[in-house]
Order: sequence, then C-alpha cells, then structure tokens
Amino acid sequence: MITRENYELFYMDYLEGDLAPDLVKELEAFLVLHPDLKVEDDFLAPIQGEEIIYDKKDDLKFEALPAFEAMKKEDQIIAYHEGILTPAQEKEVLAWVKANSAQDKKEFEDYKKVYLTAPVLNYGNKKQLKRRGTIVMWPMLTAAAASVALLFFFNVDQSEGPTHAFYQPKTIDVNLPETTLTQEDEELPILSISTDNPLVADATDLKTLTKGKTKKEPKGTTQANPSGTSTDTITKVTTQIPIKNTTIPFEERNITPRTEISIPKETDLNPSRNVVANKGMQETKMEDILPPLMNYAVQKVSQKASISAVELKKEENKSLFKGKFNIKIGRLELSKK
Amino acid sequence: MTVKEYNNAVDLYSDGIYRFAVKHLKNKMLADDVVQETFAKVWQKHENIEGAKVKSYLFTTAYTSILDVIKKENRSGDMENVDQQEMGSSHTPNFDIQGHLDDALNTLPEVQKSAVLLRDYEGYSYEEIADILELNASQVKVYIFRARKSLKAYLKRIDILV
Repeated sequence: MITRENYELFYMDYLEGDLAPDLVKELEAFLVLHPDLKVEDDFLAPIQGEEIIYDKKDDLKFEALPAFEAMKKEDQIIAYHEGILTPAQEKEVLAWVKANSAQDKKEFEDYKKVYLTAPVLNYGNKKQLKRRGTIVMWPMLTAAAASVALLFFFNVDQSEGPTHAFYQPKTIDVNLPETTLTQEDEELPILSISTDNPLVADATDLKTLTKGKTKKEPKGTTQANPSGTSTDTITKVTTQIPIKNTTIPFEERNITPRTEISIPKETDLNPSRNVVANKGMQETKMEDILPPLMNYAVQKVSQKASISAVELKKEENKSLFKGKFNIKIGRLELSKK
Repeated sequence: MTVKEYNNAVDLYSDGIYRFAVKHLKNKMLADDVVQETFAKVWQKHENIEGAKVKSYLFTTAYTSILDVIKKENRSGDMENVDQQEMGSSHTPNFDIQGHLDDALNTLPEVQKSAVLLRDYEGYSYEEIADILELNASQVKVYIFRARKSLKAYLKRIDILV
C-alpha cells in the first residue's frame, strides 16, 4: 500500500516508467488524494543542452593554397604582392586587374597597403649582451709562481746537508772560533737573515763574519785573529737566526751536488711519491725538500695545466745564481746562460 | 660560433629581436627581458651553433620566449594593462596607415602575427619562417595569406580603406 512515508519509491519508478501497471493506478489515485506531493511538470522536462558553437573552425583547417591557376582572384592578388609569382603570372594578374572593374582595381591597391614597414627601434643594451673571450691565465701564473719558488729554492749551495734546514730556524753561536771557515768555502749571496738580537748589526756583518776574512768590526766589538781563525768577540750571545744561504765548509759536505731534477708527466702527484732524482744520489722525497708553497705550485702546474713535466737543469757544483740553469715548466722556460 | 661571431650577432640582430618582441608584447621592459633571455640561451649553446644559422636560432628562441611571456602575462591578466600603459595604441588615434596596421596586427593570432612580422620586418622567406616557427612552408603561406585578408578587413572596418 502506498503511503506518505513510502510513496517516493513508487513515484521514482513511476517517473522512470518502471512501475508495474497495477501500482501505476494505485499511485495515481494516491496523488489525486495528496496533490501536494505531485512534482511540477516543468521540473520533469528534460534539460536542453545549450548550443555552443566554435566559430574558428576555418582557422584550424589546413588547406594548402592551390596552384596559381586554381587560386581565387583575391589570393592571386595577395600572391602578386607577396612576390611569389613568376613574371608570366604577374602579367596575368595585372592584365586581369586592368581589364576589370574599379572595385577589383581598388582591391588590388588595398592589398598593397597591408604590408608593415619596420619601425626604427634600436636596442640600447647591446653592451650588456656582449661577451668577452676567456683567456685562461692561471696555468701561466701558477707556472710562473712555481718557477719563482724553484729559483729561490735552488739558490743555495747544493752540497749542504738536510735540504729542509734552510727554512728551519738555525742556531749558530756567533762566538765560535772560525777555524772551519776558509777561503775555499764558496761564497753565496745571502737572501735573508733576520735576527732579534740588537747586537747583531746587519746582514753584511754576518756575511763577513762567516767568511773568515778581514771582517768589519760590528760595533767595534770584534778583533782580528792572527791565526786566521775567528777572533770574534761578540760576546757570548747565542742568536736565533734563520739563514737561508750560508757557507757550509767542505768538510761538512757529504752530498754530491744536484745536477738535474726531472718530474716526468706520468709521475703520480701524490706527494709521498714525488721524488727528486739526483744523479748518482739517494732519492729524496719531494715533500722533504720543497717548501710547501713550491710543492703546491708544482702539483698545481702538473695536475691542472696538464703540463708534461717540471724540469730543472743547472750547472754542476753551482748555485742557480752563479751557474747556468734552465727551468722548464710546460711551455714556460726560465734560463740563465 | 665564435665569441666574435656571437658579438657580431648582438650588433646585427638584437634590434630585430627587440622589435619582434615589442610588437608581440607591447611592452618594452618585457621585450628587453626577452632579448636578454634569448641571447643568454644562445650564448649557452654558442659553441654548437653555426654562425650562418644564428639569426634563425635567435628568432626561434625569441619566439618561444615571447609565447612563454604571453602565456604568463595572460594568466596574470597583465597584458591588457600593458597594452594601454606601454604602447598607448589602444586609445591613441593613429592617423597613419602603419599605426592602424599595428593595431590590426594585434588582432591576429600569435602565429599569424609572427609570420607577418618575420616576413615584413625581417624579409624572411616562407621556408625560413617555417623553420623559426616550427611549421612547414605551406602552413606559413596559408597563415600569411589569411593574415593579409584579416589586416585588409580590419582597415576596411575602421574606414581606412574606403
């Protein structure tokens, strides 16, 4: 039985046309008795889809323009102004325009006017757009730095003892007799001497002091020794002096002068394997003899610039400042003849 | 392309690229951005670009950048304001036919506009335009023919062509 509580189930089937005929009659009788439950007719009307038309279909279509003969006259005029016709076709268009009405002539003239003229519009930031060619300077700079480092490094007597000694502070007792300092000793330029002791006047004094010759009396505190040994009386002051170049007596020399240093290209750049090969000498580890800056420079040159080798040749038994030398780092070459 | 060729390209084509961008974007600042971006992209690949093809490459790159800017500006709704603020063409009466043509140009679809600009300003052939716009020459021809008809119709509509 259809009641107010369950009528919706029957009503839905009724609207869909799925309700059994006997129930249809019962529902219709029910709706007559309860008109407030009846759905409005316009509510039941099917929704009409709004007609939306895309009006640019022609733009989407692609039709290649036909050959000249099959073209519309309008297209022939455009083609004429586009300059894509042969001379014969151009003549044909002109003849047609001439032979036809004023309206056609006007159309021909109108199409002549739809061509743009390029305005003068200069771009003002051209400089910002331009680029410079990159010149890679650092390999050359690094090579130069390494060369300078090498130059200073080898500016010592090659016969001296432990090579790292010249950048270790060295303690000398200036009061020692100079019995070991003879004229046989090689004189080398003193690159740097520093001292905190005010009693040591200057580098020149120290230089002469080490030579065992006639010495300039520093501050009048020394006197000549007739035996040729040091008569230095500079009093009993032990001075800490870092000396890079000094004279080492021959007696103390037990190392054959270094004649050539060559680091082949394939040398492993691992510092522990960098070896200075001295002819007829024991091998010395690179890091033992190179100052850190130079070691770094040599590594950089070889590693980054793919430079084949660092090569140094010098005259035997001569320091760089005295003898001939030739330093090659890649294409960079320093030499003294 | 060498650095020298690149710098020559700046001298030769930056004006054209700028003009191409200004005509599309109607905004000199945006056009400047497009020029900068275009040359920056070309510089990044300059070692792989042949000197003879740099112009085409520049315009192709510029065209892509312009379309990106248009999409972006359309999304943010700025293009209409730009149109009026920067170029003043919408409300400034144009008494010469070229001014009206500029207005008419702005009514064209972007692809037709580009084709016409490349054809009229830069003198490119259909094949070259096709290369830049990544179309084929027949399409370019059709677009240009349609554009000419549209331009003429616009001028006629505003009684420039009586």
